[in-house]
Amino acid sequence: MSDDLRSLTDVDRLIHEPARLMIVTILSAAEKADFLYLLNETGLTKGNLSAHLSKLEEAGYVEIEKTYRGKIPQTLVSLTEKGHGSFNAYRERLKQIVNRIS
Amino acid sequence: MSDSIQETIRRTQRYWYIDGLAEIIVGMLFLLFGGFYLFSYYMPNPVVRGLLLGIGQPALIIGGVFLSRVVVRKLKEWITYPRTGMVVYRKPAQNQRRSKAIWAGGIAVVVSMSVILLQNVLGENWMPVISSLFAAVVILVIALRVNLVRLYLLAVYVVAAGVVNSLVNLEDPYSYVLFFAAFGFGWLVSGAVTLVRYLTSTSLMVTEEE
Repeated sequence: MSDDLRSLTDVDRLIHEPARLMIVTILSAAEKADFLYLLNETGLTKGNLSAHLSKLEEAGYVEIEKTYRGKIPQTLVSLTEKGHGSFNAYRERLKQIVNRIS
Repeated sequence: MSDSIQETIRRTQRYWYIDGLAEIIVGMLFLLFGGFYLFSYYMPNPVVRGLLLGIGQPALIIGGVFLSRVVVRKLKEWITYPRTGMVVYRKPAQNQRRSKAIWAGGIAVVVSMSVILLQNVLGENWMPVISSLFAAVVILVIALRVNLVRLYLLAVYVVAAGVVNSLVNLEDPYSYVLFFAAFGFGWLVSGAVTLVRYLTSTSLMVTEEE
């Protein structure tokens, strides 16, 4: 395997997964977003989104806060400092790979 | 992939404008400013007129800007968040806010001095064009940040409204009133059309849980 191809395997696999990449990207642009917004933007099913958020929470990339909007339950999600750091590192890694390939 | 990451970030920043509510409130504010100016101008008592124009109008502008944020947030809680969800945007850090305020103050001074200078050179009937150009620049800065097509169109409209206002060349107070009214009308229509499109393409979600 060439070095360039091998380098593609060096990225953060947790963030690299397309659905989680979208979730983390959205959260990087805001202080927090709720479950409904993430559901609409990612196009995932509720179960799927919950599963991805759990994985990100386990890794310490996101913080999940269960609250209420009036009487309706609301789940707010925000990127932790670790999550921000990992996302920025991922973007940087991606730029390096793209520059090297092109 | 880098492009789609950037577009996703922009899309999240654009979400604030998805419902047109901010534009509707800005439009109503400008119509209010125009109405207040007209009302103040025709006050028979010159002292009251002076107070209204000198203190009342700036107070209305400052108060209106602060109140509009509260109103927009409340409207979003009622209309937008139950339909397509909620995003809380990061407040700038204390030092960033301070430097933004300094920049805004500096720019306001430069704009005021430019307006006075250009007024002396070009004459008062060109003030609406000059004011609308400055307003268009502000709108364009927002438009470039979030890449929202209707904001580019709004910037063009604002300049066109300024040109028409200058060509029509109405006497005081109608020139200023027309400026505020045209500006407010543009924002209001832009916001209203956006809101109607948003409401017809989305529906209320009862609960987020499965």
